This record gives sequence, structure tokens and C-alpha cells, in this order.
Amino acid sequence: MKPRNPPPPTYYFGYESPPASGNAINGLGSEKRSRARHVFHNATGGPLPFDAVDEFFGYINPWSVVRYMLANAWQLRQSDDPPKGAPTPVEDPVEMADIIKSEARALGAELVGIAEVDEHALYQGREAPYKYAICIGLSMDRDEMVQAPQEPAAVEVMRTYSNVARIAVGLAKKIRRRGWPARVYGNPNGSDILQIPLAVAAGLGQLGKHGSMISEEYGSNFRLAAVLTDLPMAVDRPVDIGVEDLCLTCRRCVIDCPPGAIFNEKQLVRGEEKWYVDFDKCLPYFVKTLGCAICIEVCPWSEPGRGPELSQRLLARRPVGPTASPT
Amino acid sequence: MRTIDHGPSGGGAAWSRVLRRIRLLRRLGWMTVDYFLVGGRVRRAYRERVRRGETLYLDRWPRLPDPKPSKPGSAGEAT
Repeated sequence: MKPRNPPPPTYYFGYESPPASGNAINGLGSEKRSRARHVFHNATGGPLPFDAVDEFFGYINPWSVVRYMLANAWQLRQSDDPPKGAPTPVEDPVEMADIIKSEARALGAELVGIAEVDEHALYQGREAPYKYAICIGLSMDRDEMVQAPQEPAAVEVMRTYSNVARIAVGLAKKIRRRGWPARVYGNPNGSDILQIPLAVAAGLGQLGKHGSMISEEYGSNFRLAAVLTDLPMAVDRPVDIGVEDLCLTCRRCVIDCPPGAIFNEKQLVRGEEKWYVDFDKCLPYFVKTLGCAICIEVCPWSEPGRGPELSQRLLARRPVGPTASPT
Repeated sequence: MRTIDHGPSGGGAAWSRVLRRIRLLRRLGWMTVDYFLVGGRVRRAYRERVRRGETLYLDRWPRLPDPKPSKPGSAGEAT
């Protein structure tokens, strides 16, 4: 899919004195392993250098998007309610993980995985209240998303965030009824945790070249929320669905990104070689186009029904056994 | 097990939840008013700048959402 006439990267807004480099804040080129810092959205913290552009983004979004933002904030009023009664003992964490996953699916979740919260999945200066993260993914309506970077796609993104937060709140309520604490992280405007590293650890997919996650079934066409809890559960493992094999050769998102923000090679970011998107190039276009989303929609993996077959083909192409020649 | 402070228990907890929700509703109400009042000015200013091919400077806004045209060559002149 190619984006239909995306606007050119010409900006009628900007900083007279740029406040900082977002790439520097993100630790691009830094060899030291460290935690991420908030750079743009920061719903639960203090002021940021890019606050004015964040506020501007909120104001230029149409009401059809903003009403979902308000609905999301209202849903999250129950994000941190107390547990009901004493904790029910858990004898089999594996069985409990299965129960929680089926409850999440019954509430509407399409992707569910469990991971232990790692310190690198938390922003600098933030702490995780609980040990486990239940990561939930919900796919977006492809017919709306192919209109990215136009308004219908922005509405669909926010609608999905609102729905995935509703599922997370419902799941947290079920955990609290068992007497265990649970906190919901479903605010798309940033919070204490980084959703993508947790979801990768929970086996929901892998990080793609465009800086978003790719799941086997939905590609990048989904949104995430998480529930943190101490309820003992067996954790999932990261998966290998062949995303690396695709991204090393595919340049679709690099070509189609209007401001040219996607690097074709992995970058050193906070002591780790990984796919990275140039924040300073991406952000103005992201804001101008109400959240853009071109890169996630042009990804071949996001085409409905294509993912599982693509994954199978990519994994089958890998050399097998000691006699195979390295590629 | 790490614990988190959920405030007072019993009736006090219920009241504290009610108060939190009232505060949230008030905040969302103000956000809506702000979106239509301040946001309306910002959207108008932005549309106007786009039409004129000029720049809306975010580090001067919202104090100066629509500054008077500056003298040629002065700082802040749209380019």
C-alpha cells in the first residue's frame, strides 16, 4: 500500500529557538546503557522541552479525535483502584497465566502476553509498582488506517487506544477481585512505562525498522496497553517471527516516510544497537499530520492476512544446520 | 510484596475515590473548554499562517498566538 498524496514536509509551525535535540534526549549515539527519558508525550510528569509542540498537537487535532482522548482519560479513572479483600493464593502460575489470558481475550484483546517488568522498560526516574506486566494488543480498522496520514486514521488510532484501555481496565478489575493489586497503563500520551519493550518481552512481536512493533498476525496495525500486577503468573518469552530478516532487506517504510526520518541501518541508542526513527525529523511531520502512521501502514506485514505466511517464508529461508553457508 | 498506598480504607476510601473522580471530571471539563477557546484561536492562527505561507512560532505561543507583522529583517519575521 502506498500513501495517497501525503502532504509534503513543509512546516508552518516551529520553534524560533529549538529547545533541544530529541535525538540527543533519546540517547542516539550514546554507548552507555541507560533508561529512556520522556521527550514528547508525558502525561504523568513535569515539563518537557517539546511541551509547546505537544500542546499544539492537542489543539490542532479535530474534535473527532479529542473526544476519544477525553474518553480514554475518563476510563483510566479506575486505573489504580485498590484490590478487593485478601489475595487468593495462586498454586499454579502457569494455569493462572492461561486464565488471565483467556479473560483478556473474552474482554476483546487480540494479543496478550505476560512479561516481568525490566528496569529498561521504565522511564528514567520512574518505578514499577508491581512485578508482572500483562501486555494487551488490539488491532485497528485497516480501511480507516489506509487513509493515513489523514483524519480518519487519527480517529481510528485514538478510538483503538480508548478500546484497548477499556479492556485493560476490565482485566485489572478481575485481578483486583482476586485480592491482588493491579494498575492500568493505557494512556497513549506517555506514562511511566515503555509499552514496546514490555510487549516484545511478552512475546507479542518484534521491533521493526520503523520503530514500531510488528506482530505475526497484525503487523504494526495495532495499539498497546498494559496491566501491571503482582498476581503470580508464568511469563512468556520473546518470539522470533522473522522481522529482522524482513527489515534488513525491505526499505518500504524508509522510502515512503515523507520527512525521511527512518534510518535504513540500526543505530546505537543508549548502548544498544537497534532500529531507530530520527525524532527531530519525524516529530514535526507527525504533529502536522495528526499522528501520521504512514510507516506502520506501508509495512508489508500490516496487510491483513499476510503476516503468518510471510513469517513462515522468512523463517524457512534461514540456513539450517552446520553445513549451511552464512548469509 | 511491594505495596502501594491507596489512601484510607473503608468509608474514607470511597469518599477519596469520589473526590478523585470529581477532580478528574473538572479537569476534563476544563480541557474541553480549553480545546474550544484557546484551541480555536490556535487553529485559526495556524490556518491563517498556512494560507500566508508563514510560520507559527511555538515558543512565542500561546502568549503571542498572532503577533503583529514584524518589520522586515527583524527577529521573528516569518520566513
